[in-house]
Amino acid sequence: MKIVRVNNRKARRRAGRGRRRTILASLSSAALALLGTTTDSRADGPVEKIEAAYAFSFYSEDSIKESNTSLGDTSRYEIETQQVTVAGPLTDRSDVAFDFIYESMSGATPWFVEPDPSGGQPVQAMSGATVTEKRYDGALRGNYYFDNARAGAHFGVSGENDYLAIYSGVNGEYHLNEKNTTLSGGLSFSIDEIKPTEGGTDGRIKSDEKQSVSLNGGFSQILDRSTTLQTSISYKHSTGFLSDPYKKACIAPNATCTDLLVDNRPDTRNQVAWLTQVRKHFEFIDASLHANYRFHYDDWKLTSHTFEVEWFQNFFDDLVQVVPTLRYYSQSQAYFYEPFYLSERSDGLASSDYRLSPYGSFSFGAKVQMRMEDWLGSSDWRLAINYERHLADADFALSKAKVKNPGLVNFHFVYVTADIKF
Amino acid sequence: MPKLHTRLTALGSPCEFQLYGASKDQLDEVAAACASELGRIETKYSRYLDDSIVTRINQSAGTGTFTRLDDETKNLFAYAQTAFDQSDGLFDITSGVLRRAWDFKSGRLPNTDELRDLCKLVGWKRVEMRGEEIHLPRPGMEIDFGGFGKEYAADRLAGVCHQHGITSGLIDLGGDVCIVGPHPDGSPWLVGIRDPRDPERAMASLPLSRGSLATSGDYERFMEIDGKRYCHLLDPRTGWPITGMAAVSVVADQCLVAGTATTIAMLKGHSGAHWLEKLGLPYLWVDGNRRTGGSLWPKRTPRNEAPATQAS
Repeated sequence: MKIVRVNNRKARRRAGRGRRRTILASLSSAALALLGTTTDSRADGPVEKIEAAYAFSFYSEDSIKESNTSLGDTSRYEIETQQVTVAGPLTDRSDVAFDFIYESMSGATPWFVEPDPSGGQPVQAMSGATVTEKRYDGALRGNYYFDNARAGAHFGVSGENDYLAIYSGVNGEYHLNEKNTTLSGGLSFSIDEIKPTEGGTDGRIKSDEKQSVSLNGGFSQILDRSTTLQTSISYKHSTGFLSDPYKKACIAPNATCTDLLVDNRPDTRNQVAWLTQVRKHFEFIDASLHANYRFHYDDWKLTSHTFEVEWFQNFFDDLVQVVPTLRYYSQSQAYFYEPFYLSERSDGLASSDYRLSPYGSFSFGAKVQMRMEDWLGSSDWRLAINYERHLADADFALSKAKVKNPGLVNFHFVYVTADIKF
Repeated sequence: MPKLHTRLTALGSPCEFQLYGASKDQLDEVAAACASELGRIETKYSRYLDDSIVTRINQSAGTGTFTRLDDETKNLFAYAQTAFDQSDGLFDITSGVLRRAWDFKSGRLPNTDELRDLCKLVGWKRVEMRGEEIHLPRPGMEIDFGGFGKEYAADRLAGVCHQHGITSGLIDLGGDVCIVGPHPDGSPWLVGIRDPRDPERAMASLPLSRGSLATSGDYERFMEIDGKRYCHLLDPRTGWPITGMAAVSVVADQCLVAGTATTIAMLKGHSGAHWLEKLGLPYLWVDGNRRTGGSLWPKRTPRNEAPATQAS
């Protein structure tokens, strides 16, 4: 008889999940793993219960340094966002969800950059503090689940006093190879109408439109019990008014601003992004590492790299999860960007927006999430609080920038969410 | 509201379904889906059917041929592994071979040599797992899912009912009860627990609106010789029937967990009550001397035989 050497202990540990847990937790999780196996091997199912989620987030930009400004208010933007989501099953193969977002925004924004009259670094002229503006967004999403696939669609409207966007799309997933492989794809578009306040004055457009179409395709592979590799590529084509009606650019031939041009960017933009993610689970400490890399390139010649690591640490049988995150981002500038211009470009393009300038940034933060099962009237609760600090500087960029944009922004971001499943 | 009440025999046990539905058509559909799921489980896992996966694994014992497992069967083995670990090796799905020595109809004790030899074929630890494949290393070794198959089926049937939109009903597979949902008016089901020394009588009845109740007892198959009871629950280490507990009932979210807990507590014998207390699920026990205990009995009863009135 052939003698087969078998690593029983390893296979058993995989099956048994260790002895740290209580007897009840071990039996219950093994039972759930068993009862969760679908014999009709349907893909993921629709949500089974009515779920409601509320999220509140607060985004606050640091004030701009007095020495970096020439004009306007130094307190920058703050955004408060409230979001309500309600999701529920429609049939035994489909579900539907509705999101509603209310945002209020206030503070000053960068207007244009000019050379410091004393001959130093460029300085930022800020707008006056705006009154609080409001944005409303409502979206409807639905999914249909096949045996090995999911098809979804969404439609939404977003409106501000100077902006209206209608967006829609379809997306899907297909599982194969005993669900070890997943192919995904999506197509979406949006139509935006811009009607800036005080339009028609001081060179500002009265109204204009832009459209965009996005396509994406992805591939996800379970490499082994604890490792998943995901990669996806997306393409976005935008056309129409892609400039910022509230920004200007300075012509300063002799280190003095002689003329202000309206922000004017190309009327098309083609963007490609490639995202790769590796997830690795470490069973002996009940934690997962997610490592992400994103590469972006567009025909405004703006290239960016994002590196992100997230550590998901579970405690108390997954009832508490702590997720520290570290992210590094670096971008090169758009080809027509200058902090200010010596003379007008022959193509008429002009922008001093810090978001098109060369810079790098570090973000770090943590999320703490708690689950409470069978709480208040046998509902399942999830509470999460997330804090993130973002620091940007031209010196953080991978390739050194010639001139720092004075408008680069540091911010705090706090996000609190509560989910209830009834 | 239309109600379906069916009794049938499946998985070797008397079974009972009581389901409420929106229409008779819906109930017929659910009944058919339940029957087909029961049939599927029986065909796939019966150790009496030649083409079941259990038979295939058992027939390959000692041949060196590994049997490949599908997802469901792999998870059943993973569950068996967990139950084995959490019971310190008492819950062992290879212990079924010990039945060959015990004939409870004969009224005779087994040959001790035969029992000793059969004990050598018991041992989940010896079973060889290689990725998604399994092999029993000794000829004559056997596995079976009798230890939790009924409970697994009860949970799956409750799942089938939920998938068909049934929110009110009860599934009873040979005394292992899974609640699909309370009566349409919201009132709980009253689930009786057999008296182990008078199995036709209920010694307690529990109001249950959700979850499952499983019971394990020494009264299901047994013989008495010289006033001593020998029951069908055998200690995998010695091959002899367990002593100590007469019956144990446990309430849990899943019937699987409830059933496994009752079996382990029975196998633990005199320390079963302590093990149940540590486990933390609502429970009730009766020992061989008719002493009772557990969180499902009221703390103080005016009369000792008063039934439990509350359950989680």
